[in-house]
Amino acid sequence: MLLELDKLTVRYGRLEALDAVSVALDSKALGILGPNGAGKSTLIRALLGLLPINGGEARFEGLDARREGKRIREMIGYMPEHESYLPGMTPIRFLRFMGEMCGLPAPAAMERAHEVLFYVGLGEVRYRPVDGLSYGLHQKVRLAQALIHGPRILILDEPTNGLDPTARDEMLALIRDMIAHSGSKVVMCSHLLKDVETCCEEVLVLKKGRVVASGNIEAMKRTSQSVFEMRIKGNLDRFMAALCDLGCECRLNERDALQVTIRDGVTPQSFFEIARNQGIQIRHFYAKKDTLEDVFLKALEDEIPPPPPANGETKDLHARL
Amino acid sequence: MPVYDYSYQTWRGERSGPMLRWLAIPKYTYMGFFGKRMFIWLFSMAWVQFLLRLGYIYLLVNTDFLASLRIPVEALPKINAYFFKTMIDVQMIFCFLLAFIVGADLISRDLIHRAIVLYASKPISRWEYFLGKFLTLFGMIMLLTWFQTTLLYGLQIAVAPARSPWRLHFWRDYAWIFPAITAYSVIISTGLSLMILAASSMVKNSRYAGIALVIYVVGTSTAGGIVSDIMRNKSALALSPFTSGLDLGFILFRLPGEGFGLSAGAAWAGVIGVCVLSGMILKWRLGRAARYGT
Repeated sequence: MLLELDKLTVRYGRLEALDAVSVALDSKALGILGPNGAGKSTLIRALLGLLPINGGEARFEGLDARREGKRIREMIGYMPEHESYLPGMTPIRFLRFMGEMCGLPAPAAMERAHEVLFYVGLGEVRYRPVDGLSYGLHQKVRLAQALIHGPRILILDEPTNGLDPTARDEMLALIRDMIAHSGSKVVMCSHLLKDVETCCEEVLVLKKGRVVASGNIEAMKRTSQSVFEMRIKGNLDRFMAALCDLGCECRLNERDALQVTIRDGVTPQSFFEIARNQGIQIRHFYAKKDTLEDVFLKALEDEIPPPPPANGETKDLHARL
Repeated sequence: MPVYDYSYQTWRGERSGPMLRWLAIPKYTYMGFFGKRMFIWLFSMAWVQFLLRLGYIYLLVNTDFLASLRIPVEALPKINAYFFKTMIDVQMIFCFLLAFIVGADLISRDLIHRAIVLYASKPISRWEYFLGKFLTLFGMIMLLTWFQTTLLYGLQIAVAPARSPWRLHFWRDYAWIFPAITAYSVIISTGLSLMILAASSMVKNSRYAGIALVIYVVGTSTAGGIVSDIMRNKSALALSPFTSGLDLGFILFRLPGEGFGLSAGAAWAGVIGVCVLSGMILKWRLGRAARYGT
């Protein structure tokens, strides 16, 4: 089992950063999602044995985070969120240093440093001081230092944060390649849902230190297919009012199409009956498959205020996060 | 790996034992510093005194040469405990400079560039991280104090003429100097390393760490002097790590009546006190840094 949490509680003073979190997940690629302050980084730090656990149990690949932090850190590679480096060093020396601290013999650390730097695309800049590298290259150096000792589990904290689209695509391609071709497992913390959806199989959604959703992403999407998108010709307001009378939620989405969420017991057949009765033509109709965004929003909906009646729900998702 | 195949490969080779991985910290710190011209220049200057005293030892045994210069051997200062004590005391100037240049940077640099997170995520404990940083400075100061002084001591034993006191009364008058050199060097290296590391862990700019150390040493010396005058008790001078360290040296080298006149108890208390205080600051700061990453 990759991750087993049993009533895990971590406090910063009086603030409960993780509040009796219980979950068990096993996956080759796990995404940890949540808005800022949800407890993602706290969870990672607690798993690495860097934060004192105030209650409950946390096991990472079967190892107790409270007592076996050093053994956990031995098998993981951690890519921190923020810029972290040792000034004055070249990427090659920096990686050798990190490799030797992980227990690689000096010649092997040198060999691995070259291999890993070429792998992440830093072969050409490996003898340039790390201070002078751009943010995108820094991000790759951080990824490379996490890979140097060939970890069994790779923990990536916001790996695409602040990258331009090209660099972001490169980073995601690297992560996907690692998941596909290595025996390593990947745990990815992000607030960028697309990135998690692209790379991960399972997801753990946190909010205010609690688990609000967890499981296989595809399964989560399948379980919530109750949203339909339509375009009609006729009186839209009357049609929407009739659907609302049935208990459906109606709104115009960002593509100016009518998005209808049906409640239990209502079938799509009812839409056509209403349309026939009102003389409305339905010109476009499909059962909308939920994206991770939808799943995420549903998981958080207790706290998130209802969307405005007009379009623009998903556009400002990140602003709301 | 062939150049055309850069897909990810995991490391399947052997790893070194977990006990010595932290040694990479002093190793790479030394590599970094020995690549800087200013550091090499300062480090070279720290050997000048050693070379001068080496020449002096050589001169003292070359009686024919001294006679040719018409310098009586009796007129020259003898090589005794005072000789080795002052050797270490003069080296302390370079030790302070090195503490400023090397030590002040050791932890503050990791804090400002958030490198502490990288260390914390590696399979070394907070204690081993501290040990790596401590050994970097401790080793360098020991090299400039204990190593150089021990070399001179060994050389003096080797070249001393057959009928000199060094041969006739070695076990009575000179054998204890080596433990004194070792103890004094260890005390200086430990105290200075802990103080500058504590200062370095408190600030993100290494310059302020150096300034903080100077303020602490000067401030405690002044305060100790004022309190001592008011209370008419010399024990208050032990507030200053500088005073207590120097006086402890005189006690270890059996040179009574020298220094500031602190008792052995007060001098030990002053040195141990500053080490404990620095250790507590380091424990608090490193714990916080590992938790919050800064």
